[in-house]
This record gives sequence, C-alpha cells and structure tokens, in this order.
Amino acid sequence: MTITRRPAKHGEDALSEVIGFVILFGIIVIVFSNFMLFGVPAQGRDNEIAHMNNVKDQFVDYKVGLDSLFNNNKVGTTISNSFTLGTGGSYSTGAISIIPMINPAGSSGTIAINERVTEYLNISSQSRIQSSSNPETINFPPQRTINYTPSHIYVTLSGISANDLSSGAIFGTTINGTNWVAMVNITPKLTLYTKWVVTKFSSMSDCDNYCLLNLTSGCTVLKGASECACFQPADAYKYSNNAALQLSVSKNNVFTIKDYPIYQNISQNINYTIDLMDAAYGLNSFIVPPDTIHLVIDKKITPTSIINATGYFTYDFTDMSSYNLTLPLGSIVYHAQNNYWISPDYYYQIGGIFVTQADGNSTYKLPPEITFSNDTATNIVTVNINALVIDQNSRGIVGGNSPIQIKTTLKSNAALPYVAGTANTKWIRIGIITTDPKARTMWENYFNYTAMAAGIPNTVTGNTTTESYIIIDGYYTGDEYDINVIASNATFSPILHGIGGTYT
Amino acid sequence: MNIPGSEDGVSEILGAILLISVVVLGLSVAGVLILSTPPPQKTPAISVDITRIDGITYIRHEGGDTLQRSETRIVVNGTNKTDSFLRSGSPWSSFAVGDTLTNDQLIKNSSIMFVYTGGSAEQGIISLNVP
Repeated sequence: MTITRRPAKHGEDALSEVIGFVILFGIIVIVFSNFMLFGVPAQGRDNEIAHMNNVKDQFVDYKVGLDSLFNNNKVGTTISNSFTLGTGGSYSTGAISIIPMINPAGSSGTIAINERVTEYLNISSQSRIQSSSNPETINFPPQRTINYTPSHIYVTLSGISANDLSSGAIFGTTINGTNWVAMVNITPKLTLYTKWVVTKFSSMSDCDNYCLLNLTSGCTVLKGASECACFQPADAYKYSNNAALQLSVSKNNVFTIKDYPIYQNISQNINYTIDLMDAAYGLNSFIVPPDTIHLVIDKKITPTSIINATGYFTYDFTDMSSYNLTLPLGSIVYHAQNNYWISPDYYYQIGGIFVTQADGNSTYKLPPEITFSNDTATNIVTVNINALVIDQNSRGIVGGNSPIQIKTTLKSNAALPYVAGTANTKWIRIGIITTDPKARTMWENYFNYTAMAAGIPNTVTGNTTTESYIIIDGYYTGDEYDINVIASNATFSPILHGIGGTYT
Repeated sequence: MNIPGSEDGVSEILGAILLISVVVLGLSVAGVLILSTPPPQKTPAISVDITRIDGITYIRHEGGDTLQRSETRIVVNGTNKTDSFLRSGSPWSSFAVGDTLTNDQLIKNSSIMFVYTGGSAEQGIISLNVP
C-alpha cells in the first residue's frame, strides 16, 4: 500500500507551536502582572497597617513606663523601650522568595527627640501659691476647719504654776481631727529615793535579835537608855517638781506614740509649744484637708491655777492675683515612611500620645495629662496637670527599618507650688503655645471635649494664631476660690540607640 | 493498496479542531478567572473612639484612612442612618483623622457599622456599640 501525502501549499507546522508558546507566555505575563498590580500592594498595605498598630502599641507601652516612673517618683531611674521603625522586606528564603518583585517593599521610619516645633504649656491663674514669707495664722479653739495642708499646727501650754507640776495636779489637752488624736499632758515626775524604815523595840534583846536577823538588809541599830531601834533602808518614790510634757498620738484608733516626753523638767511661768506637724510625730502626712481640728482641755486645777492650752495653725501661702508658669513640652516623634498606606506621625507629649496625618488633622490616641473634674456636691472644680516634659537638652534622631531602643530617665519630679488642700484658685487659664495649626485645633477640641465631658461650668476655649487655650472660672464666677489646681512637673531625659539604620 | 478518496486529512482536521477547542476553553477559563475576579479592594482602615455624653454620641477619628461620604454608609441597628450624623453641626462630606461625628438620636447599646461602598462589593469597615 502506498500512502501519498498531499503537498501543502503553505507549510504551517511550526506556526502552531509559536502561537501556543506566545499564548502560554501571555497567560503567565497576565497572571504575574495582576499579582504585581494588585496582590503585592494589598499585601504591603496590610503589612504597613499592622506595623502602624504595633507602633501605636509601642507608644502606649512607652507612656505606661514613663507614667510608672512619675507616679512612683523614681528620680534617676532609667527604663528601656524599643520601637520598630519599619516593616522590613522579605525575610523568607527558598521557593519563590528568590524573586524579589513578588514581595512588597519594606517601609521605614524615623524617630526623633524634640524635632517638633517647640511647644509650651502656659498656665496663668489667680491662686494661693506656697510661700513661707507671709504665713496666714488661724487660732483654735474654737474648732477650726483646715482647707489646706497646714505647714504647722502649734499647741501652746501657758500659765504653768508650781501647783500644776505637783502630784495633786492633773492637766492634759486633747487635739483631734478625722481619725487622729494627739494628747498633750503634764506628767509630774516620780523620783526614786532611799527611805529609812524604823522598827522600835522596848527590849534590848529583841532588838539585837531582830537586827541580827536583818543584818544583810543593812539594818543599823541605834540604842537609847530604855529603847532600841533598827533603821533599815528601802526604795521609795515621790513626785518631784521635775514634771515632763508628754505627747501621745493615735491614728485610726491605734497609738503610734505613747507618753513620749517632748519637754523634760518643765518649769513654771514658761510657755511650751509643740508643733503637731513635726515629721517626728507622724501626723504631717496623716492630716489631710479638709479636716476639722478640735481642742479640749482636761484638767484638775487649784483655785488659783491659770494654766491653759491654745493652738493655731499656719498656712504658708500667698494670694497671687496672677501666677504665671511656662514650660517647654518637648516631644518624641515617630514619622512613618510607608509605601502602600498613609504615613502618619505618632508623638508623645505631656503624657499623651498623638497622631497626625497629611490628609487630616491631629488627634490623640491617649489623652494628655491635663484633666478636669467637677464635684457637684461642693461646687469645686479640680484641675489636674501633670506637666511631663521632655528635657530640652535631649536630642537625637534614628532612621531606618530596624528596631531601635530608647532609654528614658526621670530627671526631676516636683509638685508645682499650688497650695495643697481644697480650692486654691479663683480662675485658671491653660494654654498650649504652638505654631502647628493642626496641633492648635486638636488642643482646642481636647479642651472643649474634656471640659464638656466633666461638666465644668463657666469655661471658655479659644484658638489664636499661636495658642489654644481654655479659661475656667469655676462654679462661682465672682471672687471665690472654687477651683482646686493639683499640678506637678516632671522632666524626662531620653537617649536613642539605633540597631542598624542611621544614627546621628 | 490504493484507497480511492484518501481520508488521512480528516483526522488532522479533527485533531486540530479538538486541540483548538481545548486551548480556547482553557484560555476562556483562565481569562474568566483572571479578568472577572475583582482586584483586591482597598477597604479603608480606621481607628475610632466612641463616647456618649448627655444623650449625644461622639465618634472621633483616631487615625487611618479618610472616609468619603459618597463611599460610606453608616448603618445603625440595620438601618442606614448616614444622614443623621453631623460633623461640627453640619452634614459631613468626609471623615478624617481628628474629626468627630455626632448624633443625638442614638440610644444606648445601639449597633453602629461603617460600611465601605466604594468597591465592587460593600464591605464593613468597623463595628461599634454606643456606650
């Protein structure tokens, strides 16, 4: 059998293979292009969003650490925190990771100390400011209420006569407040002396026998013509004129000091004073305003006795019609350089964590340490300000995508000199001075919201070209102390340590 | 043996037709898979803070993407309540970081969901409960 092939007019054998190859190659290119166009950016975006959440959490950890240093007053103590600056690239090996294009590019970031524009906390108020130059004195009895922590609580005993120091006189005074009692007593002093016990005998032989038996006790025989006596020494006590002024202190019904002699050998016609706020007695940290001080005298006196106890306490403060304070805040800023998502800036300032973006304004993740509260029972507004600032001398910037370490030391911590106690201020103006318009808007919103949430009456908020502020006038808009300002200032000193990246 | 009317070409044609059919079918399937699948949708990622004071609900944008009103629905307990939210007392057109939306019509424990409508399919962004 012979098979004949019809000759092809145009040879097409090779064409189908080329077309097939082109089609297959096209499919691969389309698939790969789609992945590059949509898949890689989506994966990169997810990575960057997750990284931004991590950075936020790291800032929260940082704030918690600094707060713990501040709250525990650990001046000089250093804590370490780490921040991850970027997402990094691909860390996988083998398989398709050898093709770098299928992995999203890693993001990076920078973290810097005091790189923001210098911003200031400005506080103005009409307040009672601690000052020992012109103390205010309030006498008691009658009972008195202390509205501020007194610098001294003096109790004075006067008019002491000789009779008041004898055994027949009893004098004491009790000073008490909430959960504490102090008792000041004059205690006549018992003195040990030797007393001779005399035993008389009419019979000489009995006397000799008795003395012989008591020879070891120091019996001394004295004989007369018709009688005999044995003199034996014995210990005895008597009240002397060397009386003491003693103090007893009870806190929460437990005596912490019992009959502690403050003055030994007190004398007549001299006034004696005890300061109950002396740290040695342990009441200075226990007496918390508001408290009411009572003084009661317990005494049994002779008709001519004029002994008495009085007291007074002092406040070491000065009424200042305008007390001004300006503190540079400083900041620690993280600036993200994302490739697939927005690049926010996070920063720590005055105890808060803030975020700012190019496509919006600024806001706070955690609120700053300026808070308000309103006690509707007493109509007193409380303003708490913890000015947690970053040392202006601290500088540093680290960039890259690797982790960095930041070591922060609490450099100083002190209360601002508003007198402690109840309302110490008539009005207060709190301002944040900054040239950043987003920050000004954010602070105005924060002041507005915080005052509204706390129900603070008579507030005004505003925003100038350089400052956002809030003015609080308290419940009574007149000339009343109805605001209690509790403020402190702590300074942190951070240092950056880069692990790779650029260190300057 | 000489076979009149040789038919060896018929098998080639049939084979070619079958091959082309398989290739076309494969291409069609691949094309449908690749081209009909919507590209990954970039659903906005946001962080918000919700509070309720004196009967007014405040939703504060704490960072992330800016929401455009034209691409967002705010569903409260299953009902579209986008129009009842205000920004600074006025109807909102965008919701960016630092902005606060307010609503005085929501009751406690209401369920709020932000829905992104800008993609090929609606997708929930974030779900909140009125405190």
